[in-house]
Amino acid sequence: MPKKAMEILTESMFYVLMALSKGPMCGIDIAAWITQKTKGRVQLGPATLYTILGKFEKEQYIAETEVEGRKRTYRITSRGADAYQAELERLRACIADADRKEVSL
Amino acid sequence: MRKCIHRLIPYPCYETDSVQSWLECMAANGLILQIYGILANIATFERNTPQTIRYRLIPSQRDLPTVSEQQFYTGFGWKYVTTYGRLGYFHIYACSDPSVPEMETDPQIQVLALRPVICRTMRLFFIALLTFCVPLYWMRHHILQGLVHELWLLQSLFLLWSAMFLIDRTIVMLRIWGLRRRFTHASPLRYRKMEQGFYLGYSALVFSIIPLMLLCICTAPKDTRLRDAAEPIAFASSELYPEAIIRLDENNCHIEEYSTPIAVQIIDYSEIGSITFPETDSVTFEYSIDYYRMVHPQLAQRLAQERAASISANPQSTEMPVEVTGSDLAMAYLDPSWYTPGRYDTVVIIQKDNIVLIASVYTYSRVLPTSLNEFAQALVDTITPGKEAPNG
Repeated sequence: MPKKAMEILTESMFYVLMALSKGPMCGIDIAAWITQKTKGRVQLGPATLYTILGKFEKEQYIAETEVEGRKRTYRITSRGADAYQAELERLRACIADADRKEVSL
Repeated sequence: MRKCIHRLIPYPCYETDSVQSWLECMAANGLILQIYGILANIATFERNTPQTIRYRLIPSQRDLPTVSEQQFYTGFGWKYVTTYGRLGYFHIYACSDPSVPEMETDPQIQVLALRPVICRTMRLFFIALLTFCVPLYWMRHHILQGLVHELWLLQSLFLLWSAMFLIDRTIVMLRIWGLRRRFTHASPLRYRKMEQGFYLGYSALVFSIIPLMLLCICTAPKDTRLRDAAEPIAFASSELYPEAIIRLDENNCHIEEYSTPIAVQIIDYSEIGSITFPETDSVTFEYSIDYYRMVHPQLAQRLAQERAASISANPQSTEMPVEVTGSDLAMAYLDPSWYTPGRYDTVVIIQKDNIVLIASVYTYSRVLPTSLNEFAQALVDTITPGKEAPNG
Protein backbone atom coordinates (compact mmCIF):
# COMPACT_ATOMS: atom_id res chain seq x y z
CA MET A 1 0.00 0.00 0.00
CA PRO A 2 1.50 3.33 -0.95
CA LYS A 3 1.89 5.99 1.73
CA LYS A 4 -0.60 8.32 0.07
CA ALA A 5 -3.30 5.69 0.44
CA MET A 6 -6.13 8.17 0.66
CA GLU A 7 -5.41 9.94 -2.63
CA ILE A 8 -6.80 7.04 -4.61
CA LEU A 9 -9.46 5.00 -2.90
CA THR A 10 -9.35 1.23 -3.22
CA GLU A 11 -12.45 -0.50 -4.51
CA SER A 12 -13.52 -1.47 -0.99
CA MET A 13 -13.02 2.07 0.28
CA PHE A 14 -14.97 3.49 -2.62
CA TYR A 15 -17.92 1.19 -1.95
CA VAL A 16 -17.92 2.04 1.76
CA LEU A 17 -18.18 5.74 0.93
CA MET A 18 -20.86 4.94 -1.65
CA ALA A 19 -22.87 3.06 0.96
CA LEU A 20 -22.60 5.84 3.50
CA SER A 21 -23.49 8.48 0.91
CA LYS A 22 -26.94 6.83 0.81
CA GLY A 23 -27.42 7.47 4.52
CA PRO A 24 -26.07 6.54 7.98
CA MET A 25 -25.39 2.84 8.42
CA CYS A 26 -23.74 0.44 10.84
CA GLY A 27 -20.93 -1.97 9.90
CA ILE A 28 -23.14 -4.98 9.15
CA ASP A 29 -25.51 -2.86 7.07
CA ILE A 30 -22.61 -1.45 5.05
CA ALA A 31 -21.29 -4.94 4.26
CA ALA A 32 -24.78 -6.19 3.35
CA TRP A 33 -25.52 -3.12 1.21
CA ILE A 34 -22.28 -3.53 -0.77
CA THR A 35 -22.88 -7.25 -1.36
CA GLN A 36 -26.40 -6.51 -2.57
CA LYS A 37 -25.34 -3.53 -4.70
CA THR A 38 -22.55 -5.45 -6.45
CA LYS A 39 -24.62 -8.65 -6.66
CA GLY A 40 -21.99 -10.42 -4.58
CA ARG A 41 -19.02 -9.33 -6.72
CA VAL A 42 -17.59 -7.25 -3.89
CA GLN A 43 -17.76 -8.70 -0.41
CA LEU A 44 -16.27 -6.93 2.55
CA GLY A 45 -14.86 -9.00 5.38
CA PRO A 46 -15.22 -7.62 8.92
CA ALA A 47 -11.48 -7.01 9.36
CA THR A 48 -11.28 -5.15 6.06
CA LEU A 49 -14.34 -3.08 6.94
CA TYR A 50 -13.09 -2.34 10.45
CA THR A 51 -9.75 -1.08 9.10
CA ILE A 52 -11.48 1.07 6.49
CA LEU A 53 -13.89 2.57 9.03
CA GLY A 54 -11.01 3.29 11.42
CA LYS A 55 -8.99 4.93 8.65
CA PHE A 56 -11.95 6.98 7.42
CA GLU A 57 -12.77 8.12 10.94
CA LYS A 58 -9.16 9.22 11.40
CA GLU A 59 -9.23 11.09 8.09
CA GLN A 60 -12.63 12.58 9.07
CA TYR A 61 -14.34 11.12 6.00
CA ILE A 62 -16.97 9.60 8.25
CA ALA A 63 -18.24 10.25 11.79
CA GLU A 64 -19.96 8.08 14.34
CA THR A 65 -23.56 9.15 14.86
CA GLU A 66 -24.88 6.81 17.51
CA VAL A 67 -23.96 3.76 19.56
CA GLU A 68 -26.80 1.36 20.26
CA GLY A 69 -25.55 -1.62 22.22
CA ARG A 70 -22.94 -3.25 20.00
CA LYS A 71 -24.21 -1.34 16.94
CA ARG A 72 -22.27 1.76 15.88
CA THR A 73 -23.76 3.89 13.16
CA TYR A 74 -21.65 6.04 10.86
CA ARG A 75 -22.46 8.93 8.53
CA ILE A 76 -20.43 10.47 5.75
CA THR A 77 -18.94 13.95 6.37
CA SER A 78 -18.60 16.72 3.79
CA ARG A 79 -14.91 15.83 3.46
CA GLY A 80 -15.82 12.21 2.82
CA ALA A 81 -18.49 13.27 0.30
CA ASP A 82 -15.90 15.38 -1.54
CA ALA A 83 -13.47 12.46 -1.63
CA TYR A 84 -16.22 10.19 -2.94
CA GLN A 85 -17.18 12.72 -5.64
CA ALA A 86 -13.53 13.19 -6.66
CA GLU A 87 -13.06 9.42 -6.97
CA LEU A 88 -16.30 9.13 -8.91
CA GLU A 89 -15.10 11.81 -11.36
CA ARG A 90 -11.77 10.05 -11.73
CA LEU A 91 -13.44 6.72 -12.49
CA ARG A 92 -15.84 8.38 -14.95
CA ALA A 93 -12.87 9.96 -16.71
CA CYS A 94 -11.18 6.55 -16.89
CA ILE A 95 -14.27 5.00 -18.45
CA ALA A 96 -14.64 7.95 -20.86
CA ASP A 97 -11.01 7.46 -21.91
CA ALA A 98 -11.64 3.78 -22.51
CA ASP A 99 -14.81 4.49 -24.50
CA ARG A 100 -13.30 7.25 -26.65
CA LYS A 101 -12.40 6.15 -30.18
CA GLU A 102 -8.72 5.93 -31.04
CA VAL A 103 -7.41 9.01 -32.87
CA SER A 104 -4.40 8.31 -35.07
CA LEU A 105 -1.55 10.75 -34.47
CA MET B 1 -7.90 -36.99 31.59
CA ARG B 2 -6.39 -33.51 31.62
CA LYS B 3 -8.68 -30.80 30.29
CA CYS B 4 -5.94 -28.29 29.48
CA ILE B 5 -3.12 -29.19 27.16
CA HIS B 6 -0.02 -27.16 26.34
CA ARG B 7 1.72 -27.37 23.00
CA LEU B 8 4.86 -25.77 21.67
CA ILE B 9 3.93 -23.37 18.86
CA PRO B 10 5.71 -24.60 15.74
CA TYR B 11 5.46 -21.31 13.78
CA PRO B 12 6.39 -17.70 14.50
CA CYS B 13 3.67 -15.04 14.48
CA TYR B 14 4.49 -13.74 11.01
CA GLU B 15 3.73 -17.15 9.50
CA THR B 16 0.03 -16.31 9.74
CA ASP B 17 -1.20 -18.92 7.25
CA SER B 18 0.75 -21.72 8.91
CA VAL B 19 -0.43 -20.68 12.38
CA GLN B 20 -4.04 -20.57 11.19
CA SER B 21 -3.80 -24.02 9.56
CA TRP B 22 -2.11 -25.47 12.63
CA LEU B 23 -4.85 -24.15 14.94
CA GLU B 24 -7.56 -25.47 12.61
CA CYS B 25 -5.83 -28.84 12.55
CA MET B 26 -5.67 -28.87 16.37
CA ALA B 27 -9.42 -28.03 16.55
CA ALA B 28 -10.14 -30.89 14.14
CA ASN B 29 -8.33 -33.13 16.62
CA GLY B 30 -10.45 -31.85 19.51
CA LEU B 31 -7.99 -29.28 20.90
CA ILE B 32 -9.63 -25.88 21.10
CA LEU B 33 -7.36 -22.87 21.51
CA GLN B 34 -7.53 -20.97 24.80
CA ILE B 35 -4.30 -18.97 25.14
CA TYR B 36 -1.65 -18.54 22.51
CA GLY B 37 1.99 -17.91 23.32
CA ILE B 38 1.45 -16.23 26.68
CA LEU B 39 4.51 -18.01 28.05
CA ALA B 40 7.18 -17.94 25.36
CA ASN B 41 6.07 -20.16 22.47
CA ILE B 42 3.50 -22.29 24.26
CA ALA B 43 -0.20 -22.45 23.42
CA THR B 44 -2.88 -23.70 25.78
CA PHE B 45 -5.72 -25.82 24.41
CA GLU B 46 -8.88 -27.21 25.93
CA ARG B 47 -9.74 -30.81 25.16
CA ASN B 48 -13.16 -31.02 23.55
CA THR B 49 -14.98 -32.79 20.74
CA PRO B 50 -13.35 -32.41 17.30
CA GLN B 51 -14.72 -29.32 15.55
CA THR B 52 -14.32 -27.47 12.29
CA ILE B 53 -13.21 -24.00 13.31
CA ARG B 54 -11.67 -21.28 11.18
CA TYR B 55 -8.96 -19.23 12.88
CA ARG B 56 -7.73 -15.90 11.60
CA LEU B 57 -4.82 -13.73 12.78
CA ILE B 58 -5.71 -10.05 12.55
CA PRO B 59 -2.98 -7.39 12.87
CA SER B 60 -3.57 -5.68 16.19
CA GLN B 61 -3.98 -1.92 16.48
CA ARG B 62 -3.20 -2.12 20.19
CA ASP B 63 -2.14 -4.74 22.76
CA LEU B 64 -5.68 -5.95 23.44
CA PRO B 65 -8.79 -5.44 21.30
CA THR B 66 -11.32 -2.97 22.66
CA VAL B 67 -14.81 -4.10 23.62
CA SER B 68 -16.28 -2.25 20.64
CA GLU B 69 -13.78 -3.95 18.32
CA GLN B 70 -14.71 -7.36 19.69
CA GLN B 71 -18.41 -6.53 19.42
CA PHE B 72 -17.92 -5.40 15.83
CA TYR B 73 -16.45 -8.77 14.86
CA THR B 74 -18.99 -10.68 16.96
CA GLY B 75 -21.71 -8.98 14.92
CA PHE B 76 -20.25 -10.66 11.83
CA GLY B 77 -19.89 -14.04 13.54
CA TRP B 78 -16.19 -13.94 14.54
CA LYS B 79 -15.26 -14.44 18.19
CA TYR B 80 -12.11 -13.06 19.78
CA VAL B 81 -10.06 -15.90 21.29
CA THR B 82 -6.71 -14.51 22.39
CA THR B 83 -3.81 -12.30 21.42
CA TYR B 84 -0.58 -13.67 20.08
CA GLY B 85 1.72 -13.95 23.06
CA ARG B 86 4.51 -11.79 24.24
CA LEU B 87 4.12 -8.68 22.14
CA GLY B 88 0.56 -8.84 20.90
CA TYR B 89 1.15 -8.35 17.20
CA PHE B 90 -1.93 -10.30 16.17
CA HIS B 91 -5.37 -10.95 17.63
CA ILE B 92 -6.76 -14.40 17.01
CA TYR B 93 -10.42 -14.73 16.05
CA ALA B 94 -12.36 -17.94 15.55
CA CYS B 95 -15.53 -18.87 13.71
CA SER B 96 -17.25 -22.25 13.46
CA ASP B 97 -19.93 -21.18 10.95
CA PRO B 98 -18.72 -21.80 7.37
CA SER B 99 -21.26 -19.34 5.93
CA VAL B 100 -19.71 -16.37 7.76
CA PRO B 101 -17.64 -14.21 5.36
CA GLU B 102 -13.85 -14.20 5.49
CA MET B 103 -12.17 -11.64 7.79
CA GLU B 104 -9.91 -10.06 5.20
CA THR B 105 -11.13 -9.52 1.67
CA ASP B 106 -8.89 -6.75 0.39
CA PRO B 107 -5.09 -7.29 0.46
CA GLN B 108 -4.43 -3.54 0.13
CA ILE B 109 -6.47 -2.88 3.27
CA GLN B 110 -4.65 -5.76 4.96
CA VAL B 111 -1.40 -3.88 4.33
CA LEU B 112 -2.97 -0.77 5.83
CA ALA B 113 -3.95 -2.75 8.94
CA LEU B 114 -0.38 -3.99 9.24
CA ARG B 115 1.07 -0.50 9.68
CA PRO B 116 0.67 -0.24 13.50
CA VAL B 117 2.31 -3.67 13.80
CA ILE B 118 5.22 -2.53 11.62
CA CYS B 119 5.61 0.60 13.77
CA ARG B 120 5.62 -1.55 16.92
CA THR B 121 8.21 -3.95 15.54
CA MET B 122 10.44 -1.02 14.57
CA ARG B 123 10.07 0.54 18.01
CA LEU B 124 11.03 -2.75 19.64
CA PHE B 125 13.93 -3.15 17.26
CA PHE B 126 15.38 0.17 18.42
CA ILE B 127 14.80 -0.77 22.07
CA ALA B 128 16.65 -4.06 21.39
CA LEU B 129 19.47 -2.16 19.71
CA LEU B 130 19.78 0.08 22.75
CA THR B 131 19.61 -2.93 25.10
CA PHE B 132 22.50 -4.44 23.17
CA CYS B 133 24.61 -1.26 22.94
CA VAL B 134 24.36 -0.20 26.60
CA PRO B 135 26.03 -3.31 28.14
CA LEU B 136 28.54 -3.32 25.28
CA TYR B 137 29.47 0.28 26.05
CA TRP B 138 29.55 -0.45 29.77
CA MET B 139 31.80 -3.48 29.30
CA ARG B 140 34.15 -1.52 27.06
CA HIS B 141 34.60 1.30 29.56
CA HIS B 142 34.21 -0.58 32.83
CA ILE B 143 35.73 -3.94 32.05
CA LEU B 144 37.98 -3.98 35.13
CA GLN B 145 35.23 -2.78 37.44
CA GLY B 146 33.05 -5.59 36.13
CA LEU B 147 35.83 -8.08 36.83
CA VAL B 148 36.58 -6.63 40.25
CA HIS B 149 32.96 -6.92 41.30
CA GLU B 150 32.67 -10.37 39.67
CA LEU B 151 29.97 -9.14 37.38
CA TRP B 152 31.47 -10.77 34.33
CA LEU B 153 29.07 -13.72 34.43
CA LEU B 154 26.05 -11.46 34.75
CA GLN B 155 27.43 -9.10 32.11
CA SER B 156 28.16 -11.93 29.67
CA LEU B 157 24.73 -13.46 30.18
CA PHE B 158 23.06 -10.10 29.72
CA LEU B 159 25.11 -9.40 26.59
CA LEU B 160 24.22 -12.81 25.18
CA TRP B 161 20.55 -12.29 25.93
CA SER B 162 20.56 -8.78 24.47
CA ALA B 163 22.30 -10.06 21.31
CA MET B 164 19.65 -12.75 20.90
CA PHE B 165 16.91 -10.23 21.68
CA LEU B 166 18.30 -8.00 18.93
CA ILE B 167 18.47 -10.89 16.43
CA ASP B 168 14.93 -11.90 17.39
CA ARG B 169 13.57 -8.37 16.90
CA THR B 170 15.46 -7.97 13.61
CA ILE B 171 14.03 -11.22 12.25
CA VAL B 172 10.50 -10.30 13.38
CA MET B 173 10.79 -6.80 11.87
CA LEU B 174 12.04 -8.13 8.52
CA ARG B 175 9.43 -10.88 8.45
CA ILE B 176 6.58 -8.48 9.20
CA TRP B 177 7.88 -6.35 6.33
CA GLY B 178 7.83 -9.56 4.30
CA LEU B 179 4.18 -10.05 5.25
CA ARG B 180 3.46 -6.60 3.86
CA ARG B 181 5.09 -7.61 0.59
CA ARG B 182 3.20 -10.88 0.60
CA PHE B 183 -0.14 -9.13 1.00
CA THR B 184 0.71 -6.73 -1.83
CA HIS B 185 2.20 -9.19 -4.32
CA ALA B 186 0.79 -12.48 -2.98
CA SER B 187 4.37 -13.78 -2.75
CA PRO B 188 5.13 -16.60 -0.30
CA LEU B 189 7.28 -16.03 2.78
CA ARG B 190 10.55 -17.89 2.69
CA TYR B 191 10.57 -19.12 6.25
CA ARG B 192 13.77 -20.86 7.21
CA LYS B 193 13.96 -23.89 9.51
CA MET B 194 17.04 -22.31 11.10
CA GLU B 195 14.81 -19.69 12.72
CA GLN B 196 12.93 -22.36 14.64
CA GLY B 197 16.21 -23.53 16.16
CA PHE B 198 17.05 -19.96 17.06
CA TYR B 199 13.70 -19.47 18.81
CA LEU B 200 14.12 -22.66 20.82
CA GLY B 201 17.58 -21.53 21.91
CA TYR B 202 16.29 -18.07 22.69
CA SER B 203 13.42 -19.42 24.84
CA ALA B 204 15.83 -21.76 26.66
CA LEU B 205 18.16 -18.84 27.39
CA VAL B 206 15.34 -16.63 28.69
CA PHE B 207 14.29 -19.38 31.09
CA SER B 208 17.81 -20.23 32.23
CA ILE B 209 18.95 -16.63 32.69
CA ILE B 210 16.36 -15.88 35.39
CA PRO B 211 17.63 -18.40 38.02
CA LEU B 212 21.23 -17.44 37.19
CA MET B 213 20.50 -13.76 37.73
CA LEU B 214 18.65 -14.56 40.95
CA LEU B 215 21.66 -16.58 42.08
CA CYS B 216 23.98 -13.64 41.33
CA ILE B 217 21.73 -11.27 43.30
CA CYS B 218 21.30 -13.66 46.27
CA THR B 219 25.02 -14.23 46.60
CA ALA B 220 25.72 -10.47 46.62
CA PRO B 221 27.37 -9.20 49.84
CA LYS B 222 25.08 -8.06 52.60
CA ASP B 223 25.02 -4.47 53.83
CA THR B 224 26.02 -3.65 57.38
CA ARG B 225 24.77 -0.52 59.04
CA LEU B 226 27.55 1.75 60.15
CA ARG B 227 26.45 1.74 63.78
CA ASP B 228 26.87 -2.07 63.76
CA ALA B 229 30.48 -1.88 62.50
CA ALA B 230 32.88 -3.31 65.04
CA GLU B 231 35.78 -0.90 64.50
CA PRO B 232 36.03 2.82 63.73
CA ILE B 233 36.31 3.50 59.99
CA ALA B 234 39.53 5.35 59.12
CA PHE B 235 38.03 7.23 56.19
CA ALA B 236 34.75 8.08 57.94
CA SER B 237 34.11 11.84 58.04
CA SER B 238 34.38 11.80 61.85
CA GLU B 239 37.93 10.37 61.56
CA LEU B 240 38.95 12.71 58.75
CA TYR B 241 37.65 15.83 60.53
CA PRO B 242 37.92 15.29 64.31
CA GLU B 243 37.47 19.03 64.93
CA ALA B 244 34.11 19.22 63.12
CA ILE B 245 30.65 18.60 64.50
CA ILE B 246 29.15 15.82 62.42
CA ARG B 247 25.55 14.69 62.58
CA LEU B 248 24.92 11.47 60.68
CA ASP B 249 21.65 9.97 59.61
CA GLU B 250 22.58 6.59 61.04
CA ASN B 251 19.84 4.72 59.22
CA ASN B 252 21.45 5.73 55.93
CA CYS B 253 25.07 4.98 56.75
CA HIS B 254 26.28 1.65 55.50
CA ILE B 255 29.42 -0.37 55.17
CA GLU B 256 29.85 -3.45 53.03
CA GLU B 257 33.01 -5.53 52.89
CA TYR B 258 33.85 -8.42 50.60
CA SER B 259 36.56 -9.83 48.40
CA THR B 260 36.90 -11.20 44.89
CA PRO B 261 39.78 -13.05 43.20
CA ILE B 262 41.42 -9.88 41.86
CA ALA B 263 40.50 -7.57 44.72
CA VAL B 264 41.39 -9.14 48.03
CA GLN B 265 39.43 -6.50 49.92
CA ILE B 266 36.62 -4.23 48.77
CA ILE B 267 34.86 -1.83 51.09
CA ASP B 268 31.80 0.12 50.01
CA TYR B 269 31.18 2.80 52.56
CA SER B 270 28.52 5.50 52.56
CA GLU B 271 27.22 8.10 54.99
CA ILE B 272 24.68 10.91 54.90
CA GLY B 273 24.65 13.82 57.30
CA SER B 274 25.72 17.37 57.98
CA ILE B 275 29.11 18.75 58.94
CA THR B 276 29.86 21.99 60.78
CA PHE B 277 33.35 23.37 61.26
CA PRO B 278 34.04 25.99 63.96
CA GLU B 279 32.90 29.39 62.64
CA THR B 280 31.32 27.98 59.46
CA ASP B 281 27.80 27.17 58.36
CA SER B 282 26.51 23.65 58.42
CA VAL B 283 26.93 21.74 55.12
CA THR B 284 24.64 18.86 54.24
CA PHE B 285 26.47 16.09 52.46
CA GLU B 286 26.40 12.56 51.19
CA TYR B 287 29.72 10.86 51.26
CA SER B 288 30.73 7.52 49.83
CA ILE B 289 34.00 5.67 49.54
CA ASP B 290 34.94 2.72 47.37
CA TYR B 291 38.06 1.10 48.78
CA TYR B 292 39.85 -1.56 46.73
CA ARG B 293 42.91 -3.56 47.75
CA MET B 294 43.94 -5.21 44.51
CA VAL B 295 46.22 -8.19 44.03
CA HIS B 296 48.70 -6.11 42.02
CA PRO B 297 49.57 -2.36 41.90
CA GLN B 298 49.21 -2.31 38.09
CA LEU B 299 45.65 -3.51 38.36
CA ALA B 300 45.02 -0.83 40.96
CA GLN B 301 46.40 1.83 38.62
CA ARG B 302 44.31 0.51 35.71
CA LEU B 303 41.18 0.55 37.88
CA ALA B 304 41.81 4.14 38.97
CA GLN B 305 42.39 5.22 35.37
CA GLU B 306 39.28 3.42 34.15
CA ARG B 307 37.15 5.12 36.77
CA ALA B 308 38.68 8.51 35.95
CA ALA B 309 38.03 7.95 32.23
CA SER B 310 34.38 7.10 32.84
CA ILE B 311 33.88 10.28 34.90
CA SER B 312 35.71 12.52 32.46
CA ALA B 313 33.64 11.06 29.59
CA ASN B 314 30.78 13.16 30.96
CA PRO B 315 31.07 16.55 29.21
CA GLN B 316 29.60 18.26 32.30
CA SER B 317 32.42 17.13 34.57
CA THR B 318 35.50 19.27 35.15
CA GLU B 319 38.89 18.01 36.19
CA MET B 320 40.22 19.84 39.24
CA PRO B 321 43.86 20.23 40.19
CA VAL B 322 44.77 18.30 43.30
CA GLU B 323 48.12 18.16 45.10
CA VAL B 324 48.87 15.43 47.59
CA THR B 325 51.99 13.71 48.79
CA GLY B 326 52.47 9.99 49.28
CA SER B 327 50.22 8.71 46.50
CA ASP B 328 51.01 7.24 43.05
CA LEU B 329 47.99 8.76 41.39
CA ALA B 330 45.57 11.48 42.51
CA MET B 331 42.76 12.94 40.43
CA ALA B 332 39.67 14.98 41.23
CA TYR B 333 36.56 15.89 39.29
CA LEU B 334 33.59 18.16 39.86
CA ASP B 335 30.52 16.62 38.36
CA PRO B 336 27.20 18.57 38.48
CA SER B 337 24.28 16.23 39.11
CA TRP B 338 22.10 15.88 36.01
CA TYR B 339 19.02 14.78 37.96
CA THR B 340 19.19 17.14 40.97
CA PRO B 341 19.81 20.73 39.90
CA GLY B 342 22.24 22.57 42.17
CA ARG B 343 23.82 19.38 43.49
CA TYR B 344 27.52 18.71 42.91
CA ASP B 345 29.48 15.51 43.09
CA THR B 346 33.16 15.91 43.88
CA VAL B 347 35.04 12.72 43.09
CA VAL B 348 38.56 12.14 44.34
CA ILE B 349 40.46 9.13 43.01
CA ILE B 350 43.61 8.08 44.80
CA GLN B 351 45.89 5.16 44.08
CA LYS B 352 48.80 4.15 46.20
CA ASP B 353 50.52 0.84 45.49
CA ASN B 354 47.79 -1.80 45.31
CA ILE B 355 45.12 0.36 46.94
CA VAL B 356 42.52 2.50 45.22
CA LEU B 357 40.27 4.93 47.05
CA ILE B 358 37.40 6.55 45.22
CA ALA B 359 35.64 9.15 47.33
CA SER B 360 32.47 10.92 46.21
CA VAL B 361 31.07 13.87 48.13
CA TYR B 362 27.64 15.17 47.14
CA THR B 363 26.97 18.70 48.29
CA TYR B 364 24.70 21.56 47.28
CA SER B 365 27.65 23.86 46.85
CA ARG B 366 30.57 23.88 44.42
CA VAL B 367 33.01 23.99 47.33
CA LEU B 368 33.76 21.26 49.84
CA PRO B 369 33.59 21.82 53.62
CA THR B 370 37.41 21.96 53.53
CA SER B 371 39.87 22.52 50.70
CA LEU B 372 40.13 19.77 48.09
CA ASN B 373 43.86 19.28 48.75
CA GLU B 374 43.29 18.90 52.48
CA PHE B 375 40.49 16.43 51.89
CA ALA B 376 42.54 14.39 49.39
CA GLN B 377 45.59 14.41 51.68
CA ALA B 378 43.47 13.21 54.62
CA LEU B 379 42.31 10.34 52.43
CA VAL B 380 45.86 9.44 51.36
CA ASP B 381 46.90 9.38 55.00
CA THR B 382 44.30 6.71 55.76
CA ILE B 383 45.97 4.30 53.36
CA THR B 384 48.68 2.06 54.67
CA PRO B 385 49.68 -0.30 51.87
CA GLY B 386 50.06 -4.00 52.57
CA LYS B 387 48.25 -3.75 55.92
CA GLU B 388 44.76 -4.70 56.77
CA ALA B 389 41.73 -2.62 55.79
CA PRO B 390 41.26 0.85 57.37
CA ASN B 391 38.64 -0.58 59.68
CA GLY B 392 40.55 -3.84 60.35
